[in-house]
Amino acid sequence: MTNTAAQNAAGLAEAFAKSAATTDRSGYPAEQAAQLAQAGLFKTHAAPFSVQAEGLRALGQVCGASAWFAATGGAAVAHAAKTSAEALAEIGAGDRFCTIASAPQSATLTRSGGGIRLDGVWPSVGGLDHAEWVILDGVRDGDQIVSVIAPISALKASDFLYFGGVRGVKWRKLEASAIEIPPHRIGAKLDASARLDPLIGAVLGGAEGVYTLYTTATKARISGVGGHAVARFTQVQARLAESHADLKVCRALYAALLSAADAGEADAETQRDQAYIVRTAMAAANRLLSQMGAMGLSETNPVQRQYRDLRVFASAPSFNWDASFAAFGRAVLGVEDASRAA
Amino acid sequence: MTILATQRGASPSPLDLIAAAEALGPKLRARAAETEARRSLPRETIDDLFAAGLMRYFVPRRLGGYEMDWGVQIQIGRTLARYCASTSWIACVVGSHSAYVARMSPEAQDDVWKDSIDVVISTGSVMRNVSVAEAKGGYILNGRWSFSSGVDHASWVLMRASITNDHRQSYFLVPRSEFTIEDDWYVSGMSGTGSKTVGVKDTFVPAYRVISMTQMMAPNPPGAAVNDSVVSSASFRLFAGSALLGPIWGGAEAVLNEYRALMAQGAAGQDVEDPQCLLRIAEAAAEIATAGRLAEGLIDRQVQAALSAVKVPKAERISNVFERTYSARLCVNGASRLVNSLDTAAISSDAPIQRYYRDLLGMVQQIGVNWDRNMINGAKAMFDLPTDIPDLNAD
Repeated sequence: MTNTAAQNAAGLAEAFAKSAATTDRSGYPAEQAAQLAQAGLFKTHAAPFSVQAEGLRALGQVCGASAWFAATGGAAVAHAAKTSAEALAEIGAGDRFCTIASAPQSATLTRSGGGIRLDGVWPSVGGLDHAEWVILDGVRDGDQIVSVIAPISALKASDFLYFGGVRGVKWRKLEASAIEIPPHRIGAKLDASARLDPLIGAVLGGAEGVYTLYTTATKARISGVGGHAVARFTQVQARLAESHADLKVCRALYAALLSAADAGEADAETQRDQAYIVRTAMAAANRLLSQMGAMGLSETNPVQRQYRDLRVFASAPSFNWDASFAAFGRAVLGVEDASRAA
Repeated sequence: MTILATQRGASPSPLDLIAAAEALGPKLRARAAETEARRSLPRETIDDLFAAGLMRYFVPRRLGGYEMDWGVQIQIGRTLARYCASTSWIACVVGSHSAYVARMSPEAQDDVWKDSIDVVISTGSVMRNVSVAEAKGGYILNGRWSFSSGVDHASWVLMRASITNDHRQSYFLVPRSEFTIEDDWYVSGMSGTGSKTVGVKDTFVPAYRVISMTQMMAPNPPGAAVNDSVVSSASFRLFAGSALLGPIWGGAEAVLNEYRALMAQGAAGQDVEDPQCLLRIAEAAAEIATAGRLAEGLIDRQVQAALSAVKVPKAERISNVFERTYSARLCVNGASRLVNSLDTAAISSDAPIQRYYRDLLGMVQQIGVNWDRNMINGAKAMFDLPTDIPDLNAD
């Protein structure tokens, strides 16, 4: 991805904003997936961290599913590149979308008679409608956990009722039964530990989107009881300001994080700040959604949709609060290992 | 909770009903995902609640019900919410509507329960284009009402409305044959309550099936002529809002229980040997337990006030509003502390904690525990300013 590609993401955002509600209801349009590919958004592995994050932020501000496709497609190509050149070529090297399945219920490689066979179940996998290949993570291979790249046509996909968010990616259950896997498609386990993750852009963008949508809705909102203009309520005004201040803090920390990441100077403090951005952005969004009362529960409310998607991004393992904060404490205190004591 | 010991040798006893709720729990938990997806309680769940007697607690004794004191349903609601918040809401909050009917005229009571005492009575409180015209022997009702929980299974709906040119509100009791249901309940939490919009068009409601809000809330309403429980005869304002606390408390406990299970399983980032996780679960458990104690104390005082028929001082009424609202907030704080520390378990459909949490967030949007409304109005009452909560305006 280049800076031009990041700008392309911002350019796509305007059109994607208009289709976000339909996408959430009916699934991600094939032409949008193609537009993401053409914009270079699946070729992220060589780009600076800031370019990756800013692309996801631009998409996350308006359409969670688009940010998810870009983040997943980019991560898949980066991982395939580390697995083997042959595997990278097979998945299209970023010219097409490749998806990722993580957190299996069970997944095992069996080596016998010179062949390697895969069995496993991944309960919630998104983007299958627009991918030919999937990276299946969390596979037990003897005493190791690895990832495996497989053609989706070899797996069984079934409907999976998913309420969490980013519904436009159409989450499905994926099952592998004695699929033959060539060695060049076996790679290391995906890194899900606390680390700097360009998805932080989607988190910030998602929270900014909540703020924008909430503000628009509140300007026009009349209270269900009493028929008053909600914008005139002092507590509503004050909470809006508090969330705005939260997001301003997030943006300041985010800018510093991008600079440190691009300069190769990220440290435990940068990692801690990333987790802090996520928590603060969530607090800003939570405050606004709660202010909407029962209206905030409605599935068709754009603020609710944007919040659902944000929540999915904020749940990424790389944003783990405990790990990030304890690591910073260890760095300050000069404790090298992560052994625990109360 | 002292209320459970004051039921005058009833059979079944309140503890019997709570045990019945507990026994239903695993079945409800197994159905919880389906309940959410259907956006309504499955028929078999309603039948299970009826069979266990869990909707009879306020039905008059003279008609075969249990006519118990306030608070029983809250403990039932708490118990059920540990398994399925939507079922808890129907059993506790919607089930409490029997008390409204028990305060209405004996004829209205007979209409509702003449064929069966196992009946769902829904309400319509949030009005949309409602009008009421006087007619011979009653009223002609038109309009729509949002958020009518459990209405798919309701035989009756109590619709709140004002007679045209009169700002005072009344309840109008309307049978299933007279109202329509709009399938508009698509929400992120409490989906299983099926709180859809109901509507009526030129529906005649006889006068005996109408009760003014003033009569409904005051001591000795029409129903007190034939029912003698405090729920049927005492000031109904005493109990305002507290029924919500059972499902909310139990809903927070459900989150706590699920988080504890995740820790015990060693889910990613949730480790029983990590002091951060231990501190987190301890703090959340303390918050949720404190919320429960606050709720129990409030309900005990409400019941004692009803039994003694002593006027509750204004300062205590204000405090009651603060306490029920703060109890709900403590529940959310405790649950949020846990859920915000999770990664994929917080969003994956096959992890029940995410549904319990979404349900909890849905429940606290109910106006009875709405933070801004209750705290601001309670504080206004401290300065004798007019409020939107009628019970706080009286001296």
